[in-house]
Amino acid sequence: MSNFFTLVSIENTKLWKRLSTKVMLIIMILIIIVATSIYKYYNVSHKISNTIKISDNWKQELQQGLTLQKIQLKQLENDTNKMAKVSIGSLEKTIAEGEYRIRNNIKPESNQNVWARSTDFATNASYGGIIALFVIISCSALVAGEFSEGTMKMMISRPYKRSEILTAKLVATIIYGLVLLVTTFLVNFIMLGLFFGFNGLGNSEMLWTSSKIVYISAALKTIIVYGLNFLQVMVYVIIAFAISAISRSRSIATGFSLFLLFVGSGIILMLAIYFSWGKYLPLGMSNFSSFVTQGAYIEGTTLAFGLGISAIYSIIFCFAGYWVFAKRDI
Amino acid sequence: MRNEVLKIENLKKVIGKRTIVSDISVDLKEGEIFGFLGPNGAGKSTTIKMIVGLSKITEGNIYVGGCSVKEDFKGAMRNIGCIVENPDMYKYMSGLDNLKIFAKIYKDVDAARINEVIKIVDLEKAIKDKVKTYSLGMKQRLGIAQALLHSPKLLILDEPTNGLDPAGIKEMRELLRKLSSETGLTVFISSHILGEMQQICDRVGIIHKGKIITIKSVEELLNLAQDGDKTVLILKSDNNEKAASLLTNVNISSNILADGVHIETTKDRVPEIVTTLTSAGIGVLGMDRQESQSLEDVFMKLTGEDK
Repeated sequence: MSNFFTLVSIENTKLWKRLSTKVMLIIMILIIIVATSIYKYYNVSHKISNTIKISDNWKQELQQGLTLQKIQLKQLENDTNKMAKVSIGSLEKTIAEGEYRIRNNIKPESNQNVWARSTDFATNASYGGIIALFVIISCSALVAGEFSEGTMKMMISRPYKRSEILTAKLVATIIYGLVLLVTTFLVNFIMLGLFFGFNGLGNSEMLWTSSKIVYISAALKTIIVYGLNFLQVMVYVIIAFAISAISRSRSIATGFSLFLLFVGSGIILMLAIYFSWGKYLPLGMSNFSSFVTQGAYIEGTTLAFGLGISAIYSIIFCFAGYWVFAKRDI
Repeated sequence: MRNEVLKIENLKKVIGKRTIVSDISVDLKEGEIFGFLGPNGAGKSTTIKMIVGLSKITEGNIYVGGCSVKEDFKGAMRNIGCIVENPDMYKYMSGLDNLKIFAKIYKDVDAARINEVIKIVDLEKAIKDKVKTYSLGMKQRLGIAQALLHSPKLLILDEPTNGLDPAGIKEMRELLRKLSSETGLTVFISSHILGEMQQICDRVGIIHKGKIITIKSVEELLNLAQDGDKTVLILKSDNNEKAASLLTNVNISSNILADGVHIETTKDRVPEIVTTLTSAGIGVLGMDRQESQSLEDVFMKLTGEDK
């Protein structure tokens, strides 16, 4: 086992010795600083207040909204237009949240807490996509890149099993992804905190589990949302990893994975909206955090379903990559 | 009795329906330098790739230091240091970083050993530069350095003189000689340049169309090249024309070329030639045997291919 960790540390060194690895981390930090600054600048220049007024009879207002939303939900459920049904999940979530608020007397925050603010901002700015982009690039470099640079044969003719070498590469990539994720969280959190205040650090938030509301600390919800985003990144990384091991071409692995990330997943999601079998396709269900932040897009799907389907496909991709890598002549 | 470092048994490689190599059997003893010779596409690289685990063995087996590549891959690889095809290293890192990375793989390789190896290949000056700035010769030396790090029993070099200048080739030859005599390192070198092997190797195996044609010591092979008693002498004298006509008179064929008179004859007639020439008053300045019995000729003879 200690041998394996040596191998991981070797792969880690190789990864970090690449200039692009450091550059991507710096770009990530810059993007966040610029994005949060622009957001602050916009708010200041348009005199958008940090706080919203919550009226004393918020319960009645919320109740009225809920009644309307329930009628809307009924209509949607009977609707034949499949595109319209996309908002069912989001409505269900809003209704559940509203009812939970009224039942447990949770007054909406007049000033959004820093956890929720940073999570919302991270989701809207789709940091997850940028992280996925960077990790896909480094994963392809680490696996397929070694083939094109000819160094893979230097690694294979060592006292290690091929599967160990490949696993070490995957682990090193995952570690890099985690570094990007944690950096993103910290920089984003600190920037937004500095601009809008670190208020409500100990607050609690409602979390929609696709069937009910749980009331947990805002910090925990942030961790859950970031964690789900990371799992989504992992789905694409595993695809890049498998294509790298199979095709041995860095450009094919990077290009194809990015295509799937930015275009393919959208196409598959459309298929899932229009066809009932679409939800069983890979990638359509892999936007995990949207299940808790926006509700399910596809009727009858839950977070657990999304995670399950994606896990099955990831295992298949992984297995294909390992199998080809172990068998092939280099 | 010296230990067997590399043992290849009836090795066979089939890709699809094509047999790339078959019936390859080689035994290498400790401290031996073995040349693996053959034209491009004969199966040299395929054989080497099977030894170092890059290619799967279809049939047969390979033992390195007693460990089977098939059954005890890790054990076998611990005994091997190799450069396959090109000395590809991580170009974006310095030579030293490359060595540090490979050193981590083996338990007993410390900083002192890394420095020792750098000294052996004489790369002290450039070791902190990025590999992408290296010349091919430097890359070859760095490649040898990484292959020597863990003091393997067997060093495998695939076409190591490719792209090296004559001085580089000579340097490498001296280095390999030194390593094998001082540390008992066994070296397996492949090449298609026969002249080089002649000077480096103790024994040579010739592979052609996927099969080993012969394995012999360099000396045995050179003897094989001599066609019976026949020999070619190069005569330098003060009157080449007269010498040539004199020889024709005694039924010895000769040719006047730029470097002298080439005389084709058998060994037992050499004294006769000398007497004929000197008694006719020709000043013999020198008479050498032509060094034609190179591996090249042997190779051509064995493979039945004309130049």
